[in-house]
Amino acid sequence: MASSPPFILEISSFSDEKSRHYAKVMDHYFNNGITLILPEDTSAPQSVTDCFADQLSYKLTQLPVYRLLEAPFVNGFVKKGAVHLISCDTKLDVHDCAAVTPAGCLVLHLTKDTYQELGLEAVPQTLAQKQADIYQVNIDLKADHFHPGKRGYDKAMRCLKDRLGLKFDFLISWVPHDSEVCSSSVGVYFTDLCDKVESYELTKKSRVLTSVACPRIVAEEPEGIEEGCHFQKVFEWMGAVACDISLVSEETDDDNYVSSFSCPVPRVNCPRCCVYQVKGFIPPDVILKVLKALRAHKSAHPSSVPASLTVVGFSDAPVVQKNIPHDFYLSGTNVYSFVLYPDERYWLYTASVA
Amino acid sequence: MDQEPSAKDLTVTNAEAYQELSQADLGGKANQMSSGARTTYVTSFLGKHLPTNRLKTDTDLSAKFESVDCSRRRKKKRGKSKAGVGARTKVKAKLDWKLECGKKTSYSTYLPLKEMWTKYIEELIQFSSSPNLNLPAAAQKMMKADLHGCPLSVRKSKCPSYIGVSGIVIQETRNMFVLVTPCNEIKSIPKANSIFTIVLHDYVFTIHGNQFIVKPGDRAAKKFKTKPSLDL
Repeated sequence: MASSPPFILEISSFSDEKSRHYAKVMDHYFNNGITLILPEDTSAPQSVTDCFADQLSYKLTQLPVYRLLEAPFVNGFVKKGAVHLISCDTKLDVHDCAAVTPAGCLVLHLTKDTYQELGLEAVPQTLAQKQADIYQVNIDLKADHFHPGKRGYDKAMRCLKDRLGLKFDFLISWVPHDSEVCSSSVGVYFTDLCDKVESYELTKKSRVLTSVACPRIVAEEPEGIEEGCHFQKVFEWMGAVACDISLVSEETDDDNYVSSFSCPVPRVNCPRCCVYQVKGFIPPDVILKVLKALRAHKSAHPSSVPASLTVVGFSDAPVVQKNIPHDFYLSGTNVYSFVLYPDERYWLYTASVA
Repeated sequence: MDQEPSAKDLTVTNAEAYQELSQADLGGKANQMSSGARTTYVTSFLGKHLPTNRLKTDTDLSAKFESVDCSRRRKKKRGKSKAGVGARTKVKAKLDWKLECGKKTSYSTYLPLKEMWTKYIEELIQFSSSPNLNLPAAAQKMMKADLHGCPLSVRKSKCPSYIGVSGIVIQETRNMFVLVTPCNEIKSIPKANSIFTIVLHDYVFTIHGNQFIVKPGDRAAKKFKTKPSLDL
C-alpha cells in the first residue's frame, strides 16, 4: 500500500473567473456520496433536496462488456450527452473493474490473468500498477475510426465477445444532451441486453446535532492563528462529524473510552447543526447544482460557521480525475471537500493526484 | 651494394672472367680505395664483364617499383557480422526460401497436412479404442509427438497481440512455432511466455510454451519434469 498523498488547500472565490471549482467537480466523474454540514440549520434547505429529485440511475446486472461497444449505444448515448458508467461490487486491487467516462473512454482495469488472456493492448503502467500487477486498457469510443468494419473495432469486439465474455454489474446514469429527452431511456435500452435492470435509488440521511462545538474558522488564515483553527484540524473535525463519532467536550471532562477526539480550539458553540448525507450514484452535474443551491442558501443565511460539502468517490473507480488511474491510497485520492463562506469565498481541500 | 657478395656471385656465374684477375690484386685494390672510388670501380668492372641485357642505367625506371601503401595493412572483409544475424532472421530467411519454392502460401495448401497429422495423432493416442481416455498417457504421447500440421492456437501470452492467433503449424524450431493462419498469413510465435491449445475430439490439450523450449528432434527423447509453478 502506498503512503498517503500530499494534500492541497485552495482558497478562492466562486465569483473569481479563474476559480477551479467547476473543473474540479466536472472532472470527478464517479461520486458515491456527499455529506453536507450545515451549522445553524435544522434541516437541509429545500433547494438542495430538490437537486436529487429528477436524478435517475440504474443498476445493470451481468451486462457483457461488448454491449458497450455496439453502435446503437455509442451513437445514441455516448456521443450525445454524458454517460457515467461504472462497475460496482468489485474490489479495485483484486478484481477487474470497468468504467465509461463522459469523455467517451472505456476504461478496463484488469488483473494480470485477465489481461494475458484478453488480447488488448494496455497503456503504460504506473508504478503502483506495476507493483500490483494491474493493467489498464483504454478504448476511445468516440474516436472517428472506431466503428464496425475497422480493424481496431473488430479486434476489440472479438476479444471482449468471444474470448472471455467479461461481465460486470454496472451502475449507469446518463445526462442527455437535450432537455426534452428523458434520462430514463438508457435504462430502457439495456432492458433486453442484460439480466436485470433496476433503478438505483439514492439513500438520504439527515441528522440534527444540538449544542455542538464547532471550530472557529477564519477564511484568510488557513494555517491557524489564535482566532482560527488550522485547516487540517478543521477537515479532521468534518470527517468526525460525517462519521458520527462521539466527540469529547472538555467542559464536561467526559472520559470516553472509544474516542478521545475533541473539537479543535478555538471553538464556537452552535445551537443546532444539520448533517445531510446522500449515498448512491451521483453524476457531477447534480453536485454542481447542489453547490449552486448551497451558495444561494449560504448568502441568504449568513452564519458564523461556514457550511461544508464533502464528495466521496467510489473506492473501486478505475479512474479518479479524467484518465488518471486510481492508485488506491489509504486516505483516498478521490475525495474533495468544499468549505463555503457567506461571501462567495471557499476552501477546496483535495488530495493531490499525479 | 656490398662488394664482397657481388664478387662471390660473379665468381660463381662468370668464373671465366675471373681467370684474368689475381685474388690478391683484387682484394688489395678494393681495400685501399675510398667508398666513392669503390663504386665507380665496381660499375666499370661490371660494365666490362656483364652481358649488355643485364646492365641497367639509373634513368631507366621501367624496372623500378615501390609500394606506396603500407604493406602491413590488410583490407577488411566486408561481410555480415555473426552477431547481427539472429536466430529469428536465420529462420525467416530459411522459411522465405522455402515458401518461395512453394510460390504462394495459402492455408488450403496445408489442409492435407492437417488431415495427415490428425490421422497420425489418432493412431498414436487411439481416441476410438476406449470411451475413457487415459489422459496422463495421452499427454505423454502428445509431448513426444511431431507437431507439424497440427491446428494450434495461442490462448494466453504476455504479449497481447499474439493472443488469439490460430493456424496450422508448418515449422517448429527450438524457440518458435511458425503458423499459417486462415487469412493466408505466416505468423511466427515464440514458445516462451505463451500458452497454446490444441483441440482434438472434445479434448483440449494445453501446451505451456515455457516448458516446451526444446528442439523438436530432441523432444522425443527428452524427459519432461513436472514443474510446480505454471505462471507465465
